[in-house]
Amino acid sequence: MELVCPAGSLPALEAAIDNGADAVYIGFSDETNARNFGGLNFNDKNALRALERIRNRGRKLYVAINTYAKPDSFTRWQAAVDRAAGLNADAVILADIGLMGYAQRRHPDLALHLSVQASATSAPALEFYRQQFGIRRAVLPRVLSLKQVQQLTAASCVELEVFGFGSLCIMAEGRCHLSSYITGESPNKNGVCSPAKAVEWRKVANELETRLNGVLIDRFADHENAGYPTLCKGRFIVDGKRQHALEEPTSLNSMALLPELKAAGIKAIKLEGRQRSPAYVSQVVRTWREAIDQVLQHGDDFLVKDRWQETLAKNSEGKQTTLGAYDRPWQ
Amino acid sequence: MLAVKRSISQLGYRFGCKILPLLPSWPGEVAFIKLLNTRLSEELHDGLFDFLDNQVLEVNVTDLQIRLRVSKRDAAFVRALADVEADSTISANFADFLAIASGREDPDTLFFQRRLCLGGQTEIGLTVKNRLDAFDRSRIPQWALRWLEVIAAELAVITPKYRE
Amino acid sequence: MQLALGPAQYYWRRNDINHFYEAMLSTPLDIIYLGEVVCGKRHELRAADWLERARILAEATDKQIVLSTLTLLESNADLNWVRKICDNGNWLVEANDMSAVQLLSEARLPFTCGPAVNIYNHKAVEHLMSMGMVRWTVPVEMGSQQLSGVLNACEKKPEVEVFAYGHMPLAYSARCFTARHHGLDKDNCAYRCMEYPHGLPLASQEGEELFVINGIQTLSGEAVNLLSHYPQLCERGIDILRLSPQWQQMAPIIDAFDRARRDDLDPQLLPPGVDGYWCDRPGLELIARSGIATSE
Repeated sequence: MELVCPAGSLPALEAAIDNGADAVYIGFSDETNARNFGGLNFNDKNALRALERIRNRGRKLYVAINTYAKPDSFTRWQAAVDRAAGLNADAVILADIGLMGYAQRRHPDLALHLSVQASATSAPALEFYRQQFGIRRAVLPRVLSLKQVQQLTAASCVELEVFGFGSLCIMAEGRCHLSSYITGESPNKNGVCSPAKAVEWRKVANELETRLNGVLIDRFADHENAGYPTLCKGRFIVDGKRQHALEEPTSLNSMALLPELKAAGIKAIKLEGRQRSPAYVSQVVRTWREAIDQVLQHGDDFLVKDRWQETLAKNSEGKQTTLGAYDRPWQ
Repeated sequence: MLAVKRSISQLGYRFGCKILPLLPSWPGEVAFIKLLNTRLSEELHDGLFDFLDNQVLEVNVTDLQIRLRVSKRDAAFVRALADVEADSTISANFADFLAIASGREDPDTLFFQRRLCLGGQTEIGLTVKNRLDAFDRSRIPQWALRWLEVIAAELAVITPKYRE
Repeated sequence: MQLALGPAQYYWRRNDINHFYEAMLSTPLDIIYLGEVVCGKRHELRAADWLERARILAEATDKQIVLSTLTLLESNADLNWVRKICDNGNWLVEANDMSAVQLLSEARLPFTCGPAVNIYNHKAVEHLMSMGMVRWTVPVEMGSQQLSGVLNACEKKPEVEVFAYGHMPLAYSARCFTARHHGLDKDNCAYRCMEYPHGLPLASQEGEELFVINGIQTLSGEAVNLLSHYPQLCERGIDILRLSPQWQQMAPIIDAFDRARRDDLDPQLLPPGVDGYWCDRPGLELIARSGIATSE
């Protein structure tokens, strides 16, 4: 099982390598990737440095170009694929079929991974991407239960990668327009959910208010933890009740399922968090490296250590970590 | 030995909390901005901090009541005028800033725990955070990094985590 | 310009569904989409029932009948439902995810793509056309500018359909929010979404209507209304306007759009709704207030 780790910067990439990543995924600093945040990601100079460090240590580099290309700037997305191919990246992670067609024709040797943003959840959907574009691996959306993941792995024609840890996106990725409904910008079109320029944090009386394009998302009392200002994690009024109507700020942690995922034939575990610091990457990657090694060596005797749980809990968005959709009662 | 070291840091920290707020402006500001200009010269040259042009960023060290006000003009960080309102504010206590700087803690983690606060234009604060995360630590002298880590570790123990 | 009735989003009772579609027969609609697109657990009408409904309607009208597939597939049961719809043997199918696209193209059948299939550029349109796509309903978040960009760059165009009236489907999740609201989990949801024939409104703590909860789906809090943009929609080469089924007052909505195509456009006939997406703005904004929007 391959451990696929996030890096939004060169130090984060080094932290991932140093702590045992098998592969690191990065993005270019523009709207071609789904973490299009100011100051994050790689320009050409840093991408080259990244590649050099990856090669020196015998790891793999994946480049996420996982937003949907716009017609009038299609060449920008094409150029991103060309840059990744030029770097000799081990794979590009794509979501847009227009771009997949281009990558396949122009760079037939470049491995294509299907991004979670493409939201493929069934064997025929995976077969579509394999037949049409020759994808070798797909990242599954965080909407399937463990049983569904097992069934899909058995029926799949390509390698499957699943999310192990990170901030939890509760909607089917790539099929959520909540952000653009309020702010005009969305993951699919702009590579951002709740763009920072639309976010406002303000202290009002004893509460911390957060707004998105003027719309009140939540109010936190002094003792309450905060989350990312995304719409799905706000507190709203439904039927007169103030509640986390969609989801609380929560992180996904599927570590306890590692033996089952391995037995099912899952080929890779992905950690979320290209927007996080090298400190997060070090701690989370080291923890997952130890856990995966434990599963590989001891198989069924695997137990999640308290120490791992503490480290992951500390780095989580929200206090708790849950299995998310893997666990039916969550749904 | 450990106990002696700890009481010295505690004494230093308490002294700082008492004395620094009494000063009209923090004397270290000029030196700090100079340090930024030397250490981040490559980034400045590459235009990676252009988003701060004519913007005022305030770094607010809450427990020491230090306010660092930074702007950028012509490829260099400069002090912001005292009477100009900040466009973006980042606040935390000294220990948490050092924890971030030394790579002990992840800023988002501190943010979730309400120990790091962003005010004003979130995008500026977020971009600064990401740019500093991207800073190549191997360019800091080894001895300085070690000191940073030692002091950060000390302060993490003696400073209360939450504002009461 | 043709008028289409999109697939119903909410969970209605069998009798209500049947009455609703019977009432649609006498309207000036050209196309009717039928089928469950939100949740594979909803069983008032199963796949076979929807096929039967299609047969009954087709016998009674010469409107085009199209069968829509589920949007988010999770279980094998969901996939089987989609297979049954794709294998219907008679009617055109609206694919709402790539599973359906694959099944239909394998069977060498023409198909349409619904708004939740991610098609954002001409290359994607052309690829799907090469596989049999004959009609494309544009993602709800795509603005008129980007749409023009796509269409201008296409060598061959499909029929183009735009979501012109109703609460817009914005997101799909593994989790059922209606069940969650009632403290139930999805496996034991008790089909509570049936109690909300036009969804469960979600407002901000300041009372601003933001979204509508509908089982695993989240819809826009306000209905989109592109009636005042009718002239521009024609100009941009849109072939079909999609009107989304409403629990009540569907006929006046159809009538207002029908008048527009008979040179009798009156935006005052309907509540203003929102049009932000179409104007390349946040979806909840209302750009053209009451008057007839002029193209830039």
